[in-house]
Amino acid sequence: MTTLNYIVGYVLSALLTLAAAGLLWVIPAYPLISVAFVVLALCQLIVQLVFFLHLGQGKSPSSNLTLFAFALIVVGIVVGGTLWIMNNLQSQHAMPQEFLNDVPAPQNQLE
Amino acid sequence: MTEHTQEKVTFGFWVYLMSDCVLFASLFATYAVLHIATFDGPRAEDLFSLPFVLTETLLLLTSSFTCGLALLAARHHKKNLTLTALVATLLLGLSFLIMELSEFRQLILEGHGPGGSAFLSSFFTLVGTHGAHIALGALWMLVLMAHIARKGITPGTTRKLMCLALFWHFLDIIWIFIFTFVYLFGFISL
Repeated sequence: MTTLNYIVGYVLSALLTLAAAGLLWVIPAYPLISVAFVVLALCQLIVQLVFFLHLGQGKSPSSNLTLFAFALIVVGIVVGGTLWIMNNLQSQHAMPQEFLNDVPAPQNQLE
Repeated sequence: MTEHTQEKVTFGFWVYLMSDCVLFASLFATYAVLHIATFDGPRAEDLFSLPFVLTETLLLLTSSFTCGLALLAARHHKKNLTLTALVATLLLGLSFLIMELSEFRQLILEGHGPGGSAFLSSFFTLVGTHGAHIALGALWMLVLMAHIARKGITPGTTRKLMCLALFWHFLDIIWIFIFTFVYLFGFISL
């Protein structure tokens, strides 16, 4: 780990940040730009893990890597699971409301 | 301080960082679910300014860089260089924090406080939790600078500085995701 290491990490991170901000002017199309943002963020994650946090470069690197992999799994379950369940609930929720709007006085039908 | 203890401390600190990562993951998930629940109030794109948040991001990134330089200087037993780099890190970190607080203040003054909508609640919780980490990190940095100024560069202070550097870099990574998923995605929300 040298000064050069940190300078490379810093320059790469700054370029990735500016690239992500610059994309707002370049690609206005919605699905493409969101994919590009996620890719750039993940690139920056890797750059900073390697050049700043020195993940997996110590004397016993495997233990930290295992820990990191475990955290990634938990983060995936928390974020992915939340989005999955909440989106599901939302679509389940939306149906009866539309139904109620279309059909007048559904209470009578229940009685 | 033996090499073995050093390894154990680093591993222990990684355990803390990864559990903190899970905390932030739950806040990100909350934000992702609630960011559309604006209660007919302002949306992300109405509130945020790109040059402002880009400046914040570059400030924090630069402070992460100088923090790495401080650790490097400590490894080479250069006390004054370590302290200078830490002062730069602290000033950059505090500028970031001041910008964030001024953003919060402006939002609240405009009537878009955390009580405005579920979107604003989740925004303030996520970004505020990150800001609280930065504030605590700055306090820790001050204490560590006093340690280094008094005791000089010892294996003990270097070990503490290493944990602080890990913490500071970790917060920068969290901010990259806030920058991407809260701000950049906010600008393209349809």
